[in-house]
Amino acid sequence: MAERGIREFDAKRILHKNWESYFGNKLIYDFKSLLVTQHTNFESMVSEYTWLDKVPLVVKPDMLFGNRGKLGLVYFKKETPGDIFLKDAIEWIKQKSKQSISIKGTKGYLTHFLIEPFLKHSTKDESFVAFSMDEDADNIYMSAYGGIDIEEHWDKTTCCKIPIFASKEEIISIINSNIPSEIQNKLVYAEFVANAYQFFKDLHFTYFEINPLVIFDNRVFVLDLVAKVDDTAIYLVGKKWGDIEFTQGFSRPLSKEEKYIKELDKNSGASLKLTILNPKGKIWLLIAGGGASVVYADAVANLGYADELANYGEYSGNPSRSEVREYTETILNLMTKESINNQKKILLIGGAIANFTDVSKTFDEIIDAFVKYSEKLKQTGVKIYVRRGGPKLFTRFK
Amino acid sequence: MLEGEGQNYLQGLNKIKNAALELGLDIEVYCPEVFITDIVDRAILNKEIESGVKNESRIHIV
Repeated sequence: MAERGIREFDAKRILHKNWESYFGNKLIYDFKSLLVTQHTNFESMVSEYTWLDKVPLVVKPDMLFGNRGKLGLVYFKKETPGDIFLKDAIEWIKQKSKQSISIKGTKGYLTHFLIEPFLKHSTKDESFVAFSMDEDADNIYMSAYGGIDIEEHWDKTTCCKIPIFASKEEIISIINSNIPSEIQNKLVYAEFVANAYQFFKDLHFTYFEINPLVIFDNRVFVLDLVAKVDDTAIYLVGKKWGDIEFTQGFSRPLSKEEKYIKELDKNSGASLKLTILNPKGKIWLLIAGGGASVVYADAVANLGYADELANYGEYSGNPSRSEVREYTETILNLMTKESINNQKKILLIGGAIANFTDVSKTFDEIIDAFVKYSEKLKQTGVKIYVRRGGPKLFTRFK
Repeated sequence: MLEGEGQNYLQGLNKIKNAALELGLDIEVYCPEVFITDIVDRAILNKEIESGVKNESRIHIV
């Protein structure tokens, strides 16, 4: 299983798509969320979504990172809450897309935004609900104090454990006996939580958090939603998910070389991966196989040289000659861009015991790349270490 | 009885060694009997290789 964060837009779309099966028609979820980029054609969007240029809006990035409120990335007011209209929203999106920003030490650009109608409400209307999974039980978190300060009010959040094989009746009774006393409309809230939990479970979510959740009469407003799914469940519930996009989320932009290898990888049956960790690093890896590449990277980090590790990557699955050469040349080119004073750079070429890859064939291509880069390698001062094996097939001939 | 090593790895190791030498590159080449972690120790800390020494004929140190 791979736990993958999904866009808030996708999570809300999935909630809406399956709403009636889980929530019936007593409660209404008026799904009005649009995923846009700075290149979106808003004019054609307005003709499809007629509310878009008529109501006040809220805009925020939708790129799998949290704390947007605290980062000042939820745009809902110029002077007073609810005075943002489409023109302002577009301008904000264009402006935010242009500046590079830093989130938790990663520098990058905002590319995807969520636009929704602004909902007039006060903080006392904001509640919270979240589901997560442990090995032995699922967790339900409930609180009457939702909003961006949820962590400061964590003592007012109740947590209950739902055993994996609990029956519907047991689930409802556990939820009911744990509803925080401050919740205003306990009946509606409890029913919503029970249904949402069933939705969470059936659709193979691994994490699901609505904060804040606002319920006015029979209308549900999901103001913010964070969700992760088990992506291997796509064969089971892919139809219920619909067209889901698994994205890296907010990340540093790929370098030219990383993009190039990604493109090679995409068009190949073999696997070619490259991540640049520190372009000025001393230690470079040219490793075959996912397992071996982890061992090499770990061994380097274990000696305390993680900062000197220039790249992480691997090639495997019997890549073609040209793929190996392109991959090798990319790394040799990167590592010979500059030299380090009085120190040799290290190039570790290796792998474990090949399963499918013809070692001799791949080495031919590495040699060709050596020939092309030999002067540069000598100028930069590179020491090469090679280690590799072919499969011990234990083929017995009598 | 024959134990196949397959996929031409020895041939490959020899080729890369000879090619690098011809080009005047600084290279050390090892068989899979040498642990990956030993090679990283060797590369970074300049430690002597200890694993795989029993089978000396199969280790190529250049």
